[in-house]
Amino acid sequence: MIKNQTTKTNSTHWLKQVPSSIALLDHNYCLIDASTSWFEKFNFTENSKGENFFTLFPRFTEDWKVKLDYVMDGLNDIQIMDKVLVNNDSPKRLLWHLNPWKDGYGKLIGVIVNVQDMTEAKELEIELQRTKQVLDQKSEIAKIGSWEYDLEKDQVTWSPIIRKIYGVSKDYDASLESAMSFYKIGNSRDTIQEVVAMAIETGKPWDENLKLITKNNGEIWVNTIGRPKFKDGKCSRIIGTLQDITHKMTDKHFMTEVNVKNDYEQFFHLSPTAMAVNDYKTGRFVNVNGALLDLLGRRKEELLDRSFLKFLNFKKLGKTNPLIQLAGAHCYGPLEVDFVDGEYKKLILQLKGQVIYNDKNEKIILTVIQDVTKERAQQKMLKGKIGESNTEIQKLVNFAHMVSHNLKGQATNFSLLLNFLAKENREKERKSVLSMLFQSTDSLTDTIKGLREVVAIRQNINLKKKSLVLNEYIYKAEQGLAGLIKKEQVKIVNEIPDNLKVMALPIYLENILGNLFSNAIKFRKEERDPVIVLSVDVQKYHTILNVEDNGIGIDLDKHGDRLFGLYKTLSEKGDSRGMGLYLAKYQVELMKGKIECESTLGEGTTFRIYFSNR
Amino acid sequence: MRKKLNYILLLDDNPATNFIHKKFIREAGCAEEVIDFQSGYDMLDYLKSEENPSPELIFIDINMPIMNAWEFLEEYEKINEAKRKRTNLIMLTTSLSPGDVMKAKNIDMIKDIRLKPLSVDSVQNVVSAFFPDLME
Repeated sequence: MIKNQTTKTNSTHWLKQVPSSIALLDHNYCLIDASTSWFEKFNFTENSKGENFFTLFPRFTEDWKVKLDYVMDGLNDIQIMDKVLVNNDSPKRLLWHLNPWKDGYGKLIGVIVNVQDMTEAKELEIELQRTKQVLDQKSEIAKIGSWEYDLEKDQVTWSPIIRKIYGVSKDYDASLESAMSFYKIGNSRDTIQEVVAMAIETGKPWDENLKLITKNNGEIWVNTIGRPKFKDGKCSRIIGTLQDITHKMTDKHFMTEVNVKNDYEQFFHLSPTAMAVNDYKTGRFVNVNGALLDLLGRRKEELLDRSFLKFLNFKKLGKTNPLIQLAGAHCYGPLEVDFVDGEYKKLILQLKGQVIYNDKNEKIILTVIQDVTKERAQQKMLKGKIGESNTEIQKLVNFAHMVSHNLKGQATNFSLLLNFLAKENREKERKSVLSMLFQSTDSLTDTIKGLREVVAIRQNINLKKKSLVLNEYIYKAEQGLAGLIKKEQVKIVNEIPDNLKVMALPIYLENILGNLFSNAIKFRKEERDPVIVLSVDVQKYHTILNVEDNGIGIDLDKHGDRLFGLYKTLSEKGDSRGMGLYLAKYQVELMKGKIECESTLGEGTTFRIYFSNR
Repeated sequence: MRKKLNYILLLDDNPATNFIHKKFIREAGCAEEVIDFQSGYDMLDYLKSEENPSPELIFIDINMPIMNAWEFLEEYEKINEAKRKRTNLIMLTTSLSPGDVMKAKNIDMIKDIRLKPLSVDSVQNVVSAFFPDLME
């Protein structure tokens, strides 16, 4: 054994000369030989050769054995940090490198153990060096300089970096004015002057990104921060920093672009547009993205491997069936389908698809799904609005026709009557023409008054309804007609409870009641005293007001269709302008209600006004 | 030879219009008597009465509130034909709407449809057109 070892020692004689601390162990982890520095490091002598490694280092635990075994299995460069007391000296940190030792044939014959010193000081030095480097780099990149302005001495102090940013020489002495004069004329110059003045006056600090023109005419972006310091209620000095942020300002958008990778799978999943990929032959969902799952409120597993055909109603689709379209072309759509999921989700989806080939050259369908529910609802609403405004326009045309017709006639009469008057000398004839003129004037005034009411209604369309005590408005209407009621000895029987309210617009309600009451009185039957009976009928959606009279009645078969028309007076009794019922109906309808009429000729008439309860 | 018609009747809801037409007819000097009505019912009552002579000419405004011209004609038709045959009906309107002209053409009783207000000339035109022997 010893002889053997000797031969090996000889073969490892070179080891002595190696400047680093290296030792060789055999497969039993016994020391074969080591460099001189290795022996010195651990205070071992040549006698230690042949000793087991764990005898030499009793502090080494089972852990070391495992690691050595790893090396014997062929693992390279296992590093172990170790702290050890040597020569009663301060503790040393050692870094052990363990490597396999192979002979010329590549056969593992032992372990090479290399030890490096890791003194604390050295370690710190390395750490410090690294930190310093990083810091230097950072501050060089950040280019932050500090400055101070002493108001009492009117003196500006700059750090070297500020001079570097400004591009001025190391001995450049700045004043407040010259420091500000580097800021670009315009917004930047105005801003710096303003914030400095504000800081001195009110103590308000600033933090602004501004443009600066350097000594050699370069345009850069700087971030300037200033904090005023006050002494005895007066600004004594301002301290601050200046940073070159040109890169930040110009590179912002550029950076985000660089960060995006050409990963299409990621595009598919992150896309805000809902998308699905289906197999061409089976229609099965191969892939769906997050936006689609969010839209449908389904989990991925619920869709995958199910055919999209299950989600479509082919009877309803007819020729727009995507399968038919796909057979003819390589795309389909846009196709709109209803998606109904239980009770709470109802969507209108627009699908557009395109046949593409995957990396295995198989046909797949890429479908883009868009939620058009809101758009369709808006379209529907707009169509309704257009329809409404068309009827509104029709009404206005009829209205304009009526008005022009009526006014034209009256105007012609005026001019003719005035002509007569101009030519006429006989006093008696002049008087009759004059009285005709007066009559016409009254009639014209009434017509215009009515027209103004109609126009006023059209202007008040947007007013809000209120809950109104009906009887208050009935009393108001009665008071308005007090003269007529007294003259005709009208009896009004009011069966409406005093607290009953209806949803209505005050002016409309007043107008409607006034019109209905005056009609009831005007069309009274000669031989009997007029009676008006008022009652209500409260239903779920409507409150119905009944206005019943015992007047002459209306032949509804004959006049029913013209009852509520403009200028369609049914009788020339009284001073009816032919607008009362037209106005009443119009106002009731604007309040989302309706008006009905029931009548027996010679016996009386009942008008029913439906007030919407909402 | 008679120089004038005996009776011309006017039907218009506007009293001023009737007043004006009456004056023009007098000025044209082509009628002994002009009677005006503001409502179709009143005129029908007048025409039905045996005491009243049938007029040669009636001017009727189409647009009237209580009973319009077409409703008036329905009632007028019910009057004894012998009493109606001497009478010529002329419709009046402020604007000759195509609908009204067509409607008027389809009713035999209506001899013509004219614009209102009438003037002395238009009254004379109507009379000479329907009573040529009168104007010699």
